[in-house]
Amino acid sequence: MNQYCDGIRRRDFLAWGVLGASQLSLSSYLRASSANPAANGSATSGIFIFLNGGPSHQDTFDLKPEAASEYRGEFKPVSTNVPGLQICEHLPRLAKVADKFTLVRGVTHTLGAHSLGTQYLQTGTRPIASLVHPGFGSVATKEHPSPPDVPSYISVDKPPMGAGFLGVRYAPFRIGKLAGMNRGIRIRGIDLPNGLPLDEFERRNETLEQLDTAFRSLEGNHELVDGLDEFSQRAFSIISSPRMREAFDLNRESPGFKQLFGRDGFSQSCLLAIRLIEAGVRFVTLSLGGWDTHSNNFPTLKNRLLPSLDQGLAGLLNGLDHRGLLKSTAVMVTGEFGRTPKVKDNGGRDHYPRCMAMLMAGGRISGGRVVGASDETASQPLEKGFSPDDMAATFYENLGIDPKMQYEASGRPITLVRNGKTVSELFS
Amino acid sequence: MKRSLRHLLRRCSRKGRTGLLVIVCAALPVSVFLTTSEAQEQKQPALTPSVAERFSRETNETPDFRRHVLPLLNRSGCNAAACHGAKEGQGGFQLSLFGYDLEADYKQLVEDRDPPRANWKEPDKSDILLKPSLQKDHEGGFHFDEGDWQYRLLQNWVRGRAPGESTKTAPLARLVVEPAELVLKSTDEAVPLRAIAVWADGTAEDVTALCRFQSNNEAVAEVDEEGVVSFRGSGDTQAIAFYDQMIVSVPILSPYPGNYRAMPLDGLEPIDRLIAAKQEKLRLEAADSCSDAEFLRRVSLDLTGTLPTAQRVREFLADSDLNKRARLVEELLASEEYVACWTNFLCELTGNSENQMPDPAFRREQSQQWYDWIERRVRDNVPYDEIVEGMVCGTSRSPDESYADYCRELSTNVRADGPRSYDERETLPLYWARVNTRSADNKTLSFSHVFLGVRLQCAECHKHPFDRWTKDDFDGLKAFFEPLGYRLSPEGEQVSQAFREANVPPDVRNAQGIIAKLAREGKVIPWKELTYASGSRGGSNSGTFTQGAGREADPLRILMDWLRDPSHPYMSLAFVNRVWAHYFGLGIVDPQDDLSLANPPSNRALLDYLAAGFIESGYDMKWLHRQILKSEAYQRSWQPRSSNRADARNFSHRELRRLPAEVIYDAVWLATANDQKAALRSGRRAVGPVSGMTRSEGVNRLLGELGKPDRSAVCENERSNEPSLTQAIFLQNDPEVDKMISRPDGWVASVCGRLKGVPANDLGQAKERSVEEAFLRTLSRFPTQEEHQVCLEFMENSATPENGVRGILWMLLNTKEFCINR
Repeated sequence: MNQYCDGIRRRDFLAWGVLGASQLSLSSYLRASSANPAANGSATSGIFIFLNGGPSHQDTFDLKPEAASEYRGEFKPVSTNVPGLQICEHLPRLAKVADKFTLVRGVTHTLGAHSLGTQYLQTGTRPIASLVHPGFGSVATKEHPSPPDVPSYISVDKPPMGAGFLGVRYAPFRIGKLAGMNRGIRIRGIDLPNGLPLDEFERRNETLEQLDTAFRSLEGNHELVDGLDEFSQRAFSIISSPRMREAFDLNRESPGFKQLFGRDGFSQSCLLAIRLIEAGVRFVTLSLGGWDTHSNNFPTLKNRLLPSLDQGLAGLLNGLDHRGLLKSTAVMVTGEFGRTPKVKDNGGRDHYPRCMAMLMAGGRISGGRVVGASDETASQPLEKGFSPDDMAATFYENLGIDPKMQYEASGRPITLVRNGKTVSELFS
Repeated sequence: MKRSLRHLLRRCSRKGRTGLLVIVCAALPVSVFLTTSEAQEQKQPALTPSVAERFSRETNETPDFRRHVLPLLNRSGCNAAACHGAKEGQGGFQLSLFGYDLEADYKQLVEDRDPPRANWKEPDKSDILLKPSLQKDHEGGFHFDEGDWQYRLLQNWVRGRAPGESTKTAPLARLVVEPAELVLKSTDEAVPLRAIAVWADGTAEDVTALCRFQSNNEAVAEVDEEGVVSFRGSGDTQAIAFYDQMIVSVPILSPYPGNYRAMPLDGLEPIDRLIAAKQEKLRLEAADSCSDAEFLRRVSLDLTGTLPTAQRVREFLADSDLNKRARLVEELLASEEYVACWTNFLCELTGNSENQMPDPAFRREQSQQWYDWIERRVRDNVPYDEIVEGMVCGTSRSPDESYADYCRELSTNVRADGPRSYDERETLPLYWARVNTRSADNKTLSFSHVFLGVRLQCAECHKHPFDRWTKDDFDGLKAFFEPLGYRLSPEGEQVSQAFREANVPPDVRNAQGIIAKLAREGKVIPWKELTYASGSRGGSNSGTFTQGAGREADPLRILMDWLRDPSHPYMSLAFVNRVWAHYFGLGIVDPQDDLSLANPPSNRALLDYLAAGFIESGYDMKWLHRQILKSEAYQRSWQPRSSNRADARNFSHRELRRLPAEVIYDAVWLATANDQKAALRSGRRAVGPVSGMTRSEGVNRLLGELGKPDRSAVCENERSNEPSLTQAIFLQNDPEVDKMISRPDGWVASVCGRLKGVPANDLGQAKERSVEEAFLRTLSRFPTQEEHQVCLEFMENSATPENGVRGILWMLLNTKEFCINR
């Protein structure tokens, strides 16, 4: 028997206390954390999809049908629902929702190693050995946390970038990789261990309150003691509230909505991401790996990666739109670099940071456009191009976060994105 | 083993002054020990009055560029990052950030454009006069009016044809700020500081008006632009004065109001005496001594990274020997857990990270070798300076060792069934071989961060705003590391090529993998080595390679001697401060890796005592542990008195801290193990060999999420002991914790087994006993009567005894008390 009805629980008064300290009333807190676009139209939630390995831009979103065959590769472009905008023929579902996203071509940098490129693309700051910058999700959720019974930031599988100098407090709550449709998800730390009923968990927590009194004299006035209480309360709410369990239960989704997605793990993760955002999670990081095609680029893309990306991402954009979440959710999709313009003898393409493409959607991104361009062989940006710094600044801007804001780390002021400029064409 | 200060001095003076040594001395010339009081002992020469006075009326004096003009611009904030110190300058006018580049700054003022900003042909049309007085538009706003002394100073300089730095100008010898220490009363509103510059030629000038001042804590005292101090609140901080490249701090003490009972200083050990002396000035009372139970838990966690077993808690509490705390410290210092804990500490400090090891196929082995090398030395209590020497002066092979012998030895060490003898090597060249310190820049940052506790990141590009390091200093130190690299020597190159031809089929992509496999099977493979290329820069085929060159000529040895020079004991200061921070949660200098002039120690006498004593002891790490652990300061209660609640800098009460990642993990393991297991401590301890237990990806990941650093940043303290959602969910509901609670060889299982066999009328007592046991193994103390009652009631209301026992253990693991070191 549960005498609480999702209302005030153990230590709730403390959580309210914490809110009070930051001058937020409960109602304004809940309002601030609801899934509506902020007043200036920027998003309040974010989804970052990382295509690990570095997808070849010229075989996905920046095709060069006019180039010589050793450059253009095997795939043909296909028209989309936006006149004049073409993408790869193996992305047919995305072609039908091109009005919902904007492509950025001619993004360029110089870091051709996976780990460095990964860090660069997810922080907007060229990696340096002396300081690790935080990834998007950590910054986004530090600035806009979730309501107390929901984790602010969830990463499906290993987050490609951690919280860096912001510290573990802002690291994502990580769940395991999804296996595929109807395979069930076990969420480590949220599912109760075998055989422990929820009311037993709650009984323990009630008694714990009587035992956890050693530092009572410091409560309300001590950073560590209050921090432990705050997170312990959050953990309890998350574990005991039906909200998260329901969000993770993909079987609750209507069959019609489920049909927007494929059956594989990536598609299911995209479906999960929508449910999480809907439940109040502020930021979700997903990844789809395998793009490091040094050989056999074309069959790998055609048979496995492109269908997977196509179903998952099209499902995500359609799904967000159906649920009215697209305006409030900033989406960014990128790898760590592009791939070499010339196809190798073994049918592969190597790392190529000098030119790449990425996709943005949601929030203030108007959709149905291409910003920037590469040259005739997709070897370099046509003009100056955009740096990862610019793209990070743009993503932050879309999330309602000033990319020029400053944090302090190692005793120095650190500008969030020091060198980037927001690409305002994406918002017009 | 003992090396006295005098001996050290002799050693250093015996050394020939090579060119490189001069560079080091120029690069790192400061002694943290140069306190203002020492400087003041020297006699004051005749004093030139302040520029504010001299230029307050018409005068013929032409001010000096370095002494007057630049400090004025600096003080006015002209060269700050937001103004003309910005990367691209401001409005076309660019000054070096925080001002160190005299030549460039002079050019900007006098030569950069026509008409120059300091226009000596038409002085009154100079931008440096018109802009700051807003006679011309100036985004940086108003700074002074025509007629103000600042205006006249600049005007006279321009009129005097804007002379640059003269070679005749004597360099600044010292900066004296008076008073040397300031005790503030709550009514003090305007206490002026006075700054006097003394130049090498003996002349002296009041430069108060040319200094930049700051307060390190404005809640205690404010210091305005003119160097006038005002009381803001109780506590202590420093006023910092900046002039030219000198930075001087003045301790400011604002005593706490309320009752104060003075402590007698006689009979106190040095640490306590020095702390009490400062507390007295602040009228700050110390907390009571902690209880025996608290001491046992605290010192076990701090010194050995692990909880005491329930059995040990009982014994210690029952022991009536007055000297039992000191005995406990000795017992723990001799334990294997001590070795593991401090090996870990040193591995973390020096950056032993599996993913930074230089040979990709052998990362795990190399990281283990690093651990083994340190572990052996911690176990043998090898002096800290010798451990440092082994790293700083790392060589892959001794002068008489052939390349073939070297390869044989290393290959044997990675053989699947080979001996692990790397720890017998004299040095640890892996320190310089790491991937993240390949560049000389990063070697410089790592060296200064690890061994000096100094952050040089700023000076990599510009003058350090809070210390005297300039980019030239950085480059001077960097020069030592430029030629250093982990690579194949020309001989190695040949051997390697021949080896590949003989053993690796052509066109194989994974040649490294094949070679690694051969080594594991017992074949001798070629290895890179740490070499010092003289002549041209780096590159594996250029320059002459010296392998363990003559000791006298070895630049790294010169650097090592410099580290040991007691006149600037950075190495000792940095280490004792870090160890102090480990025990107290905050360094005497805080942050612990920021020893800089503008961030002075909270108790300089204390830091000096420890640093000098550590050197005197022969860098004996156990000496340091004993000194600290036996002090009253370490043994204070966490419960503040009303008078010291607000204090966090003077060690008046214990600071609470969350257990570090590995320690929490091990504590849960130990608290949930049955008695036999706990006594043996045979678990896969997280405080131990880096990769010993990290084969389980899940646990490894968990530790990272709890704040264990991956040790990849070259100059950052990455560990995080903050509370986090992951840590809370881990303790409440992680399958790993549940597994530990429920394991068949766990405590819950053994108690439940025992309870089954107990006759009904003894059951009550048996249950009481298990509650007690649960407290001892988690919180290292007996339960209070009330807690006992709560737990017994919980048991009564549980469906089964097992539910009850399990629930109680779970609850105790989830108290704040469990994951706090109090």
